[in-house]
Amino acid sequence: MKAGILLLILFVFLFLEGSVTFVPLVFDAILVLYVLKREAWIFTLAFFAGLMLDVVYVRQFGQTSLFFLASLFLVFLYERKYEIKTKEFVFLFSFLAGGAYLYYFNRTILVTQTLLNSLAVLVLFLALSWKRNQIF
Amino acid sequence: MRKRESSIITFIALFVFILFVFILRDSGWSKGMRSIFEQILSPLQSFALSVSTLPSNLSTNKQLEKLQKENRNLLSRQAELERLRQDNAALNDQFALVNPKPSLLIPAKIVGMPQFVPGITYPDEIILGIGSLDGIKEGLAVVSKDQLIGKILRTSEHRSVAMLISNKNSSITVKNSATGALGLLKGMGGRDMILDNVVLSESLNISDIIVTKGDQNENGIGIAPDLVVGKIVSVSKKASDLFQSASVKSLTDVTKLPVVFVLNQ
Repeated sequence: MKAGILLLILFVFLFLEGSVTFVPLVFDAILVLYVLKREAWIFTLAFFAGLMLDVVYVRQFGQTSLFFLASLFLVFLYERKYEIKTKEFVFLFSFLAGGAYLYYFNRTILVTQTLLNSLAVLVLFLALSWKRNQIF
Repeated sequence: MRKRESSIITFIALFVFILFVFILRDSGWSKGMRSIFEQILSPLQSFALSVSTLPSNLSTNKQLEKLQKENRNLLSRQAELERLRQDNAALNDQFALVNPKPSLLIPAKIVGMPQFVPGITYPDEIILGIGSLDGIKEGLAVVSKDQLIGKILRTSEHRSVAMLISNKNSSITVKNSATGALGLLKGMGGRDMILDNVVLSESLNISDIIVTKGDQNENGIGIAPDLVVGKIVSVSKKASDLFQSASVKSLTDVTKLPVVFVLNQ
């Protein structure tokens, strides 16, 4: 049940990001998932989601996966030192990583877009945290 | 603790796998894998695009759309007439010029528009559902009717990305179809472009049609001449400047096009 809901969200985000919008929705979903669940299978999910994005954007195969994995690994390293399941961490990390994503893949530095993206991540995080007992 | 070990092992395994993917990126194995993904995802991506652009398409007044289409056709015809007037009549009679020739066009379905949010942003690039296996090469022009949309930026076997002429990184040599004034057309984002580097002695007028000068290599790759790129909406001319410039608006709304054509010469 829970895997189905998560995959559905990711699937919808994948095709929204693949067809319209520049917001890194897939990355947002994966980041929130990892912060909430911290399980190894999310690395695999990030890997395949990245491959699919590379295909739809005609990018070098594997580069989005590499970005997703590196970002999740950073979160993974931070989780020993800091409490990552907080609004502050999610907002700050999504701002920095989302900005890096937009810059690297779209060659644009757009503070407003990055900020809006971080707010979207925060809303997703709060919504899933709030619903966590029902969904997870 | 076991969870951490599992995460590290998964990360390392996937990281190593990606390294192999990078190393073997030009191999048949990598291309085959990509090709399978592309064939699976292409119809789904196309469906997602049509669903996401549905609200903006529905909200458009049909009558207005019809008038805009007629206006585009008339402006294109005007540019064509200007060109014909300037050409040698005998040569035209002999070759019955049609630009571009239909036999050179490869139809391509638009399957994605990165950076496009209906009603908010306009795309800089479009993703086409055909690739190198269909004869698409980097640098080929993408057109709709006789209007230049963009050029192919990169390709894979079943897909290609076209940079629109209004993209900020786009720069092409153009001329005024009415006066023949040459200039450099640079993308400004949205549907706007700027015509720059036009010498002061040349004439630029509002509503003049701008067409491509032509920039092809010996293999026919590049932008063909006399493709319509847009219409002048304002002119900036100061006696103290070296050059004059003009704002140019594209006549085609790419977000409304389901199909474009790649000009393969």
